[in-house]
Amino acid sequence: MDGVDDTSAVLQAAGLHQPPVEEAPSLLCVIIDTHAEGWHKLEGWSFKETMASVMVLLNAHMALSNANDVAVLGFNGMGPRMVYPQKEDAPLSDVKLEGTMYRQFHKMDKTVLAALATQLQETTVNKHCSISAPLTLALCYTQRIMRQRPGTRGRILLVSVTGDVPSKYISTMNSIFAAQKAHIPIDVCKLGGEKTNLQQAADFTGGAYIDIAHPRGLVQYFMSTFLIDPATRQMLNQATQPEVDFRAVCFLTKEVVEIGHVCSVCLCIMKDEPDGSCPICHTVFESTQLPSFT
Amino acid sequence: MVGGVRDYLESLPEAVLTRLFQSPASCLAILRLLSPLAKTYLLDMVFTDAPVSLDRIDQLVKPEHRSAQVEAIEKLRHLHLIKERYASKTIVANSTFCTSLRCALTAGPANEKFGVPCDDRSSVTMDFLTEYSRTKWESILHFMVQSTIEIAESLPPPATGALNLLQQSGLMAGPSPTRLHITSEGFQFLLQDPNTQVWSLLLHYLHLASKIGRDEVDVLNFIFMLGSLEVGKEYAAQDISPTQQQILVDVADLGIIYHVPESKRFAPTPLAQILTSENGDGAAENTDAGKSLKGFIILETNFRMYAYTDSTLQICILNLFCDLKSRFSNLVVGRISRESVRRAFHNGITADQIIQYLTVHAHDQMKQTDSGQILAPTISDQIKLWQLELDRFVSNSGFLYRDFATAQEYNLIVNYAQEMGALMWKNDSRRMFFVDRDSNRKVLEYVNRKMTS
Repeated sequence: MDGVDDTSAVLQAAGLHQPPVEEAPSLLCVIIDTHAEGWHKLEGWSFKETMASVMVLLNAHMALSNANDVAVLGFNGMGPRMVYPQKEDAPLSDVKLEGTMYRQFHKMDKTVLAALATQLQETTVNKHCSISAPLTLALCYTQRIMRQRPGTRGRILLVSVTGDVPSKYISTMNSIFAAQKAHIPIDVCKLGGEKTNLQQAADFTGGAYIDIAHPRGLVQYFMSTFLIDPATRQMLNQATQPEVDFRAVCFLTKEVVEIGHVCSVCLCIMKDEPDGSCPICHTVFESTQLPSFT
Repeated sequence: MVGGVRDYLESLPEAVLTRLFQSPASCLAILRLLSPLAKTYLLDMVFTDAPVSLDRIDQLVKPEHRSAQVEAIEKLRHLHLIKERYASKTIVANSTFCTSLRCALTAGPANEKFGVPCDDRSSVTMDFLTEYSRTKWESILHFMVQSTIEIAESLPPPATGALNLLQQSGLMAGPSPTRLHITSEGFQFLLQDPNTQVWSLLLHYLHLASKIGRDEVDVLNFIFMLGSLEVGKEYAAQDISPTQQQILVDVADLGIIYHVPESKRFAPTPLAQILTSENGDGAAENTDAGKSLKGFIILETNFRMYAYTDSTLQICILNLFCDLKSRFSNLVVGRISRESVRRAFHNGITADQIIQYLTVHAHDQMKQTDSGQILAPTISDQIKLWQLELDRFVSNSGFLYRDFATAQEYNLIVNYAQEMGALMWKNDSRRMFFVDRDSNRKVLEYVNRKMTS
């Protein structure tokens, strides 16, 4: 082995060993909450203006490198939908563009805005869509791109205005863990609604979480936090979340619990003491043991 | 090679750069040339007009990455993208640049008439453009290698403009543009990736253009704008200055755009897209140069090389540093040896360039390694060691002193030479020593002084 080390030492001395420095292409997947009700409840925010800032973020991401790519998803009561890139020959792609130089930007912006605006108008059957659905879709898409173009790094930005549906707690957590496993950071830009799961999503996956109270300077938040790709973020001092709400949700009652019971076999969380067996995996608990923990 | 453009931009005075910043397309292109950290700083400042304090700049980066921060800020300052205000300890971004970039990012209206897409159905197809740029660009590269070996199938020589450029840039030399031979810079040029090649030719073009009194800003704006256009669309070239008209023709010679003479339209080819991307991949997938980027070389640890290609150009390039043994319809087999690599070194090619070429063009199967290294370390290290061999001898001109009568005389003078740092070599037993040419005069004076006294 000494011989090998020698070689590299010799080459090092001659200045011939240089690690290549290059920027990996990165995919930014933005999930936009298009619950009309959620946007209506927000005071001082207009959907249009917020989207203008999001568009700047998308354009800036594309501007950073030719190899960069973006994807946009919208979700409301009708479920999550891919907004950009759309399947080829979508009716919107031949929008008439007047002498604008940045056709790529322009085309993308028009497509995204039009599709999202339509979603916002929709009358929804279900009241609410859980974030687990768009998250899963975004993860699938990101995975596909990462496989198609090896070396691509993916990340997800969630712009949320509504809280999550408690009944989907398990699937939401599962998708967060999937993202963590795939090293896909989830950034959360929270404009309204309660925050429990989303804060955890950002914390577990190494993304940024920002609760923005005022629409002014939204662009600046996007530019200084969400635009920076994860590799560069490691070099920076990022604002840390003061305290993450790690509380879990009871599997049965879907309430947030501080202290609860956990099944020793399937790890399901329960607010109330189970009677005799686990409601999820049906493991029978010994009745003599149970009381001693309460 | 992106570095080459950056260096060129850094060498421009502030006034010229500020004029360049007026074009949003140029701003976008310049942004792409920066390091990730520099991009971060710059974009952080683009939407706030307020100056940023130096403390904030320091706080943003973790202490262990301080050197990267200093480098990023330094780069930004050299490009005149930021200005330091020493009194208030703040920095401000160049306002012209910010305005233009904001315009670009918000997809605002373009302020240039140039580059307006033609409305009616365009006559050019993507395939045609790809083929066009491929032939144009390949004919240049072919022309360069042709001067080294005989190729059976010969392509028509490139346009005179391109030939002139090759000669002026020092990639080829010769008495007239029709009788040229390749130089060592030319050999190096051949081994670079398409992105680097296109840029280095364009940089030479810029130098030439400024020499004959053309406006650099015009040329640069034009080049950057070309990179931001959509490939496969035709653009109208109305209301352009005579300078721009001329550039149009010159750039068409290189195959970067398709331009019908006498017509007022042009179409960027896939080569144009390379201009604003850091690495050639993705952009030029359809050109032959791009096709080769998919990788065709398999290199075994025993230095045997199999190249799955039928492109004479690639074979000629491989021939520069490899002993080719046999050729099949889609495969050439060869061997990298000390002699073949040394031949390349004598042509001015460096070990790094060979390794880079082999890495970039490595076959997909070579890339499936656990270590993440594409080339086996034995090969890359060996090529580097072969280069180091050449550096084993260092020649110095100077004077040899010998035939000293006494040891005392010898010691006196050799010590003096040593003290003044002129001594290159000595052999005490044979009473000989060698003195650097530049310092010899002083030693000689000393000898004369001692001898006469």
